[in-house]
Amino acid sequence: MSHKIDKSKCINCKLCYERCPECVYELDEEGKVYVKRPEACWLCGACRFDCPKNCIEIIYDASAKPVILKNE
Amino acid sequence: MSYEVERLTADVLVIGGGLAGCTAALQAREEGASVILLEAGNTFRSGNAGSGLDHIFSYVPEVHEKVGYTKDDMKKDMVMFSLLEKGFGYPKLGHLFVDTSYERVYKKLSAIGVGFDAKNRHLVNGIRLVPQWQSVPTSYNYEGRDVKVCLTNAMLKAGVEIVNRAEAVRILRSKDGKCAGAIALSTREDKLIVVTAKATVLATNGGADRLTESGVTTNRNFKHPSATTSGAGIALPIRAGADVVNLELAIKNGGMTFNGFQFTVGTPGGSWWPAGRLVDDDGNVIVERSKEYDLDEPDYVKKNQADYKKYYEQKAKASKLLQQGVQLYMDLSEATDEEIEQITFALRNEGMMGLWLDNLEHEGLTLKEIKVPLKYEERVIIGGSDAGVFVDEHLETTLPNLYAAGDVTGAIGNGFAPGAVVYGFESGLQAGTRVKEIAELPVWEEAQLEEVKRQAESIRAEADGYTWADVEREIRSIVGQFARFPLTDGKIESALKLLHKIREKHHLQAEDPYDLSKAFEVLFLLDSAEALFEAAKYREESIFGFRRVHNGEEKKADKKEIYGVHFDEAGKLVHTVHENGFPDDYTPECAFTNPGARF
Repeated sequence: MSHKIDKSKCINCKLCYERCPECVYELDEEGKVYVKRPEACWLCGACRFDCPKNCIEIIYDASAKPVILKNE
Repeated sequence: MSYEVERLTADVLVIGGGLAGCTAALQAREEGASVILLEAGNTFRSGNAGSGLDHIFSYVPEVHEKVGYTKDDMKKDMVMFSLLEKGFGYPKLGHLFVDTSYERVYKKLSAIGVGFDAKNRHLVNGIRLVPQWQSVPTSYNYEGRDVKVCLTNAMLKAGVEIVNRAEAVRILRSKDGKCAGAIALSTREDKLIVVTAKATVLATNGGADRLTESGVTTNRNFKHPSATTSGAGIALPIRAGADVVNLELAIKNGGMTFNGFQFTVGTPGGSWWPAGRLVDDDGNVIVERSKEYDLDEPDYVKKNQADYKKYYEQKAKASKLLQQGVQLYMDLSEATDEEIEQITFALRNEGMMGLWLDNLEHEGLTLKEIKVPLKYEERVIIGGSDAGVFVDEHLETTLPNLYAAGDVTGAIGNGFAPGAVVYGFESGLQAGTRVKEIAELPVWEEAQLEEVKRQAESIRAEADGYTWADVEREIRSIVGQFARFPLTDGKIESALKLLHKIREKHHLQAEDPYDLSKAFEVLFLLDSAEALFEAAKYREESIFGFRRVHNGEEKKADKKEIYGVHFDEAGKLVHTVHENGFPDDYTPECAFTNPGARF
């Protein structure tokens, strides 16, 4: 799983850290949110849509994404 | 390392803050009880409905009365769930569902701000009905993405004390053999939280489906079900002496999967309905898209019933074709633009499917043009709503003052979201009523706390132990290897021997409090796996799809008995037998039964 926080937009409100049903996000020594356990993510997507600055992106790993074809 | 202990008290303790736990807490509070709720994550976004669910169902008088579908008809249809169709379980709770579902699902959730105003032609009070399960549509799409946010805000307003990041690891027993509360681990600090309560509602998931690679895989890397599946729903009650029933019937072999999900009755239904269909490589339609009828259409009920019957038959055929190696795909090529818009709305409200849509966009694909391959997997699947803690018609377990609701319960066929809401409210009502009769807080032996404290401290002190993920994988290998039909005495003994070895030899380690909560979950899974094989050992005859060879011979059960397991006070696993809620010669009265059902 590839989690990306766009640091240029993030205001460190910690909502993702507070609401994640697992503990994907942690706070570093300066109290800033970072992605500590991406492997614990079960793709609920809540951090992404609750983020007030819309700065979280979660893209499936190539090895883990579902197979979907185009109907041609 | 020494663990700090925080002590709290309440009239009612709720373990687990998903749909069932939150509704239980609200109702107990309404009865005047003081309420503490323990949640391993954060109630705003935890549980199976954490990031939403797009459909839920109830009896809807405005619609159903109009088309001549009565509450009695729906009560008959409720046996479509779980093993009730086979006459196995307790129909009374299904009746309670039908009688109270509109009030509890539609009205109560509306009242706390959940939106039901989806745009659609089948509008009656803004409800868009989608066909699923019953013989006329009873499911409705709604704005369910923020249902947990609404429930959390309602709990805060009502004065429920929510303790987030607290994973319950033990149910306390009072000196007089009743439930006395629970002990939880903080997932962010080295701390235990102990709640003494007059009555407790257990509303944390059963967790049996984590014993193999999950049928509903949400973590694609670890093939893990959602975080909600901690295993606590089985381990906590059996350790406390509350019966867990039908564990052996959670074993299934093989199933269709679709887009990483187990192919259940609603797929392609639910979000995809009415436009999803299954086709083969040559473009032959194996499962047709569904039809929708106007409520004024003559013979509305009969037409829907005929279509459902056909759908279930086609689905059974699809399963056979996949097993023969024929490639099938789900596509939406017959969907109208309006339907694509509705499906998008539904997926945006259905948990992880919103993220799935984002990723589809990232790949440059649109819903209209996708083709999703299905497959049939031979592997062992542990899950379904058959297994769980036994509850009576008041949702009380066999341990007095311990109630249960939601996916954790068994034998009443309620592994479904609206059931979590309806029985959640009911369990809160029952627990809130019970505590009015209890004057004093229960008294319990401190040794229970000392044991958990010692266990927590020793795992945190272990420097060279196994990680929780390693042990979980090992448990899964054993279950995946030996839970294969027919279960034989030899397979069961081998599995139990290996599981006992894990318990004796594998010392878990944990680097931080979160890791420790995971280590406890793995211990719950170990309890669950042992109980699963012990339960299978006790059921010596084949019943429904459960196949058992005992002493070299396979016999078919002629009596439908419900079996349970729990640990007695001496720590010995004991078996119990519960009377079935149906007569032995029961035949279903619902409009149709599902030929594709695994059991």
